[in-house]
Amino acid sequence: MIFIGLFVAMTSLVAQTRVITGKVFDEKGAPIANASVLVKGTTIGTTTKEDGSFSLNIPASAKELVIASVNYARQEILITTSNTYAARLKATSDDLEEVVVTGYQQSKRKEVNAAVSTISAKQIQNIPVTSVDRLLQGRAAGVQVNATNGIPGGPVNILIRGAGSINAGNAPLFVVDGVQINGTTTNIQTQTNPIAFLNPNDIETFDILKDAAATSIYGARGGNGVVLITTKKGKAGRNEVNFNIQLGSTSPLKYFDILNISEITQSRIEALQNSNPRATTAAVRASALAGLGIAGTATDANIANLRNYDWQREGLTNGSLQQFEASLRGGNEKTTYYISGSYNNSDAIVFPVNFKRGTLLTSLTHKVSKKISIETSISLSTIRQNAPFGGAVGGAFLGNIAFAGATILPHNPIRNADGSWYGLPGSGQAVAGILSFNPMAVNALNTNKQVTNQLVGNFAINYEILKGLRYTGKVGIDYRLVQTEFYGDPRLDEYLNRRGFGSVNSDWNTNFLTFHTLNYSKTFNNKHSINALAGTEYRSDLQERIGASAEGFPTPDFRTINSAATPLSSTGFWTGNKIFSIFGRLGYEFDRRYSVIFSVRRDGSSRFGSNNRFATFPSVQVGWNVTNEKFMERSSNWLSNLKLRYSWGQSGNDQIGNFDALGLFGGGRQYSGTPGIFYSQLASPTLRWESRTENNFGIDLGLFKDRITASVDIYKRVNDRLLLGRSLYQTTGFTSFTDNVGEVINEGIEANLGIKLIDKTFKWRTNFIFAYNKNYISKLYDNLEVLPGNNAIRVGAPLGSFFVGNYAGVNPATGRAMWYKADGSLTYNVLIPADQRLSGQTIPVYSGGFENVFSHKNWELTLLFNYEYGRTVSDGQVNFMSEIGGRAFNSLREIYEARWRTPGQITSVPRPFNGNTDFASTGRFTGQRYLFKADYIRLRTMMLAYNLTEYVKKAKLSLLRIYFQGNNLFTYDDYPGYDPEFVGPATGIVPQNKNLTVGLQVGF
Amino acid sequence: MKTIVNKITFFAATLGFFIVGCSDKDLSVQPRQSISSETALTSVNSVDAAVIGVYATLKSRVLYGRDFMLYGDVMADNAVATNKSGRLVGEGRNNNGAHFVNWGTSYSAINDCNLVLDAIPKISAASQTLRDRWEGEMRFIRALLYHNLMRAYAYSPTYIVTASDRGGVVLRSTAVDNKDTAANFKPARASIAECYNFIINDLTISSAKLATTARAGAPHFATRAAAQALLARVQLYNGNWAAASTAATNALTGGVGTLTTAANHVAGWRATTHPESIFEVRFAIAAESLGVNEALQTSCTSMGAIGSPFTNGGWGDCVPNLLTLNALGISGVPSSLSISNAIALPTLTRSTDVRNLLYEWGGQRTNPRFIECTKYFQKSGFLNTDNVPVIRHAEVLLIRAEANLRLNNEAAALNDINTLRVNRGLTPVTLTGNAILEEILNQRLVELNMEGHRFHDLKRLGRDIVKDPSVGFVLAITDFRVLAQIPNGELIGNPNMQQNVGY
Repeated sequence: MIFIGLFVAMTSLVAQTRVITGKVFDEKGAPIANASVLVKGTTIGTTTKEDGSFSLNIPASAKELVIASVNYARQEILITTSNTYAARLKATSDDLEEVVVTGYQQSKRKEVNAAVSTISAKQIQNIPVTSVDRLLQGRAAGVQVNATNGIPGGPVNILIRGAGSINAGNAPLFVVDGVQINGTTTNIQTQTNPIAFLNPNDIETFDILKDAAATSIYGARGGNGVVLITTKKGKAGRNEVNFNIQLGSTSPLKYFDILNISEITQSRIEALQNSNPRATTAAVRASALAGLGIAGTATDANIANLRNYDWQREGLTNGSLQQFEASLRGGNEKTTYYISGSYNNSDAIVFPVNFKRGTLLTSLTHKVSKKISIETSISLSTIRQNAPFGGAVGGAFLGNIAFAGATILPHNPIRNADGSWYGLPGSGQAVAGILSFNPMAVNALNTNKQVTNQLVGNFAINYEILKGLRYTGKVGIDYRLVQTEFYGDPRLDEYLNRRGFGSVNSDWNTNFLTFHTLNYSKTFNNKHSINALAGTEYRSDLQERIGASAEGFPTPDFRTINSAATPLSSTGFWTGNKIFSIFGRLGYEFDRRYSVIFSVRRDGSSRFGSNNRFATFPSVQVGWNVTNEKFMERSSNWLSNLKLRYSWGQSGNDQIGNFDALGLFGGGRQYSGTPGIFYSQLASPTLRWESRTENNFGIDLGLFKDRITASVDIYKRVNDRLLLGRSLYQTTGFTSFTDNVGEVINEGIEANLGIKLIDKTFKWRTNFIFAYNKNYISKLYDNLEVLPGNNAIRVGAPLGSFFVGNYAGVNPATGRAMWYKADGSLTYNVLIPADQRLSGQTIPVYSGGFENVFSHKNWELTLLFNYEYGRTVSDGQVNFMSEIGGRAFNSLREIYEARWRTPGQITSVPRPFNGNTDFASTGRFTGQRYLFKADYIRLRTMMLAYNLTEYVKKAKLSLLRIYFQGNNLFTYDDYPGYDPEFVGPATGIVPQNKNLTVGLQVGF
Repeated sequence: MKTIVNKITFFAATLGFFIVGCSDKDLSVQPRQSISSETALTSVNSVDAAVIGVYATLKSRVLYGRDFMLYGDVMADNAVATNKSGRLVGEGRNNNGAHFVNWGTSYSAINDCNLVLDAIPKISAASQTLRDRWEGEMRFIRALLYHNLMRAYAYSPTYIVTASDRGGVVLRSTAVDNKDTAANFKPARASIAECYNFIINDLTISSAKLATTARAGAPHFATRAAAQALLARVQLYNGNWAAASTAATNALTGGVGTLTTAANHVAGWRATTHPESIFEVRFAIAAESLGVNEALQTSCTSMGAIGSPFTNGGWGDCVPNLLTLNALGISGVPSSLSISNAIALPTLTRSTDVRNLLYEWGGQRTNPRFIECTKYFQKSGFLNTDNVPVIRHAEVLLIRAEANLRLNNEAAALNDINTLRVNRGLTPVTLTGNAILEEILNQRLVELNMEGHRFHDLKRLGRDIVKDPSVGFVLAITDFRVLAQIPNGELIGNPNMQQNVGY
């Protein structure tokens, strides 16, 4: 590869220059390509060619050359009168020098004794996810990632080492370049993930702090784990210009196999007959046809001839996906920069949901003097999203085409012959069935959008007070403005009588942070090495919202609320919290064999009771690098690394409401035009942190020069003093107050196995990640076995358990659903809670990933699978589609065909019944029959890349790469709903999609 | 440049040390849309706002927003659930657990009443008149909430299934205002008699306090007439006929509302405030609507406008059945109650009873079409927003008739019945003995249909509930499903509490 330093052009103006040449080698004498060669203190430089040679035009004033390359120690060479130079760079062992960000400082991987996972840029490049947290899926042991739904840029549910909290949040803390991000998902018209502002290709590394010893430096905010994101920074040397274009499409994971109108008619007739046993066949048929909007005179043949329209494929279609990026990176000894811009357009497969994002990241570092340097990084982004009507947020899910497309009666036409929507009011056309509106029209005519503008920036000063002693001060801001707009079109039934409805909201979050640290490190006698950190931090996080709504618009062309006749409501909201902390860390290492690290943090938070504002979180980590012992020398030919680690630590969880400790009278009530107040919350003045205490034992192993690497961690995490909404008997007038009660335990094993199976011209590297986590509630309060108000929260049971009636199948004689009573006998009426039992949990027990990287010359293929096992979910959409005639909408064919029809028939699907609940019976959707195993293995990412090295030489480029990339291409599961991965009720969610893109990356 | 950066560095470092000195006070953040409970109820304005806050709870769905106006019909023998939206179907079939769920909301509002009652003596700035008014209003609402709790969760003194009697409900007359009191509260159910005495005592005091001090805005706020009307109803359930009769007379002559006539009865139901209302829950603005799925209008009708069966409006989940339609004097409805949207509207034949003009062929929102009740049709001027008459003249008249009949004063009973009949376009009747009781119940069925009374009437009289043929069974009044289930959480960890039989 040949590189020409474009920057060099400017130096041609300088008089009195000369050309020097040289070569850069490694210790064995092999040439090093791509090493940077710079004249110290200037921007004059170049990079070495394939054969390690360089040629540079230097000014007369040049004194020294600086030569640097990845994985080699930097070298400086004095410039003499000679015109040829040779440099021999010392290798820094790749693995040994791997750097891990551990919070407020960087550490070498070998010196970290706690549980920390790292994901590097190379692993995630060019994967067009809309929010970068999805990249953690299957790539870090013990980090479970589930998409809440398929809204591009929507929220992701992340659990690190299970869930420790019943009522407080379980989401990890995200820290981007030292700035703690406000983790609240904005949820107005649609959902915007707080981390969606980042372009994935701007990320250098993820470092995931998993155990309490690692997270205790983040104190009260660290209790659910911490994800540290470092964005790309400038590099001294050649200017790198990179363009990246990616184009492709998204497509649905599945369509449901549903009934045609003849089958629906049959199911309705059966349902009505079963619920009206004394009605005549003719009366039942008349009633069924009436309910389906079919003429009473229609024969079966007439009904069979009705056209069935494919609403699913009308509403769930392929979408397009585009990503464009440009970045510029470079700098000199004093100043380095990284500037990147990107535009991403992702359509969901659900009409009209989409996501458009523009980002701009600017990062600068500058050495002001020998002792002082400054750095700044500013990320600007804007996101526009169209939401489905009703939203994935719940509520009016009937309007979401992902729900309605599969459930609307299929003989309803979609459009009229002239292309207009069928069934609008005033047309005389009526959409038959429960879904009595045209869901495509609803999504097309209403406006439902959300715009997010976010700024995340920081500025830092580093001052080297003495050799080894450094002060760092940083200020950061995370500002997010979300603006939403909804317009209910008066051409639709729902808004006809009110002549249209409009609402707007603005919600903004101002999250300010500053920290100041002193860092001291020194090595004595080449054996004792110490590293000390002391710091203080302050964070204030404020959120405000205003909104208004109105109805009565002159015509559908008027869509802003100022043109409405009747203002309906105005809303205002304010909340905030402050947290102040001091922290320190002290590490000591002896002879690269034994190391110990202590850390402590003291936090004060406005969220807690006045009696308990401050708390302290300590930790200790010890490590033993066995391979560095003398007695291990003999085995050094095969055992390249063996390290034993143990850590203990405490961190906290403060993810509750900002004012949960206060006794409050709230407003917002009104009667007869007069405002009212009410006692909304009991004071809890002793409220304090939920604490997490964790023991972690780990082994790191490297065999055959690290051709095989393995790492195993075993942990026990105890969350106690849980921030729990402690139930009160409702006769007190209150339902709960927040208290510190209860205990949850997570125990587990995490393992990471990496093997370079083939390491020749053809390379095959594989990495297997496995995590097992057992979660259970070990204690409630007042010796209670069950949490009042929630029967599924019970001692011994995992969080997210189902506690439901015990389904016994269908009575073959009557076709009615039966359940087991507690004594084992059969019943139609389940007693709550006497006849219920634990039946599965929503948090998976086993999870992980399996990555394979194949490379051969210029080809590279990556396949990443991830899997989850031991998860059970309830799927609202599948429940609706299992009604088979209970109401006038469509159902799943599989359920329809298995339904009970004749006495003596053995099946698990009860007889159709109008209104679903059989006479004097528990609802049919009670019990395990409506819980599904959500185990899956999914081909999460497939990436095939080809580097055009030959052409690169000819065109004098630095990089030219073509790649094909696919996400969610294949899933192995046994799940009846859209997607086994979602979290939540699944009714009217936007399902995830698969995508396939082709990309071109060009570097200059 | 260097010096500037040096200065900035110095400043930043200094700032860092300042932060070290951050104190507890600096960490205090106070909310802006709430106020501290410690000082909330210490001024005249805030106590008055708390009183309004209590009234506001009556609008909730589980109280007068919907359930207490429709469950009494759909759970009884006079209405059916159409399964159009799927709502009210379980209640229509008296499924296990499909019943009133007013427990939590009621106790929350009762505590709000108690907070005001506890605060009144401390508000020295308030005049005696104002204090009397607050106390009268709070005791009235507390009594209304308690009586509705008794209607849902316990038997009435006039008919108790002894084997299933687990008592009344939990009585509290002082406020819970801190977490320790709340956490240590392990309540038991009082007896039925204790509960009725508590309610009657509240209404007696309320009547006295409100005698001269009611605020403007009746019938939307409590008055002495309202307290007496509710007392009449409570005494009817209590079987104290003389007291019921006296209270009814006091209510009818209390100066709040008047009986409508045959000429203006329908107009009365179209008026924003019903002219007969003695107490009415007001839904003043569009934002107070319970919305397209749960408001009274959408629950009862599916038309876009009255008399427009070819327009679309709400769901029409709860409609009258043949028992009601026959009593109303409407004929021409098929026994299935419904017709397909596709066919022409069958002509209805109507008697002279003006009340049947409040029923007509409904809209076409989801096939098929039923006869719907138009008592609630955006009376407040906004879609799905209707003021709710809680107690009105016709009911009180019928209470007095029933009480007088039980006191063997047949003439007085007939007199009240005939007053009502004449004002509804019917002729007077002459009846004796049990026939008078049946006529009273018939008039209650017709007059109070879709106002939530029928289920409670059958329950207090101990009559089985013969469900509509489309539902197809008889719910014996001794069945456990007649009483609602006390929320399960109330029993966990509280040995004092008893669940109703069968749950």
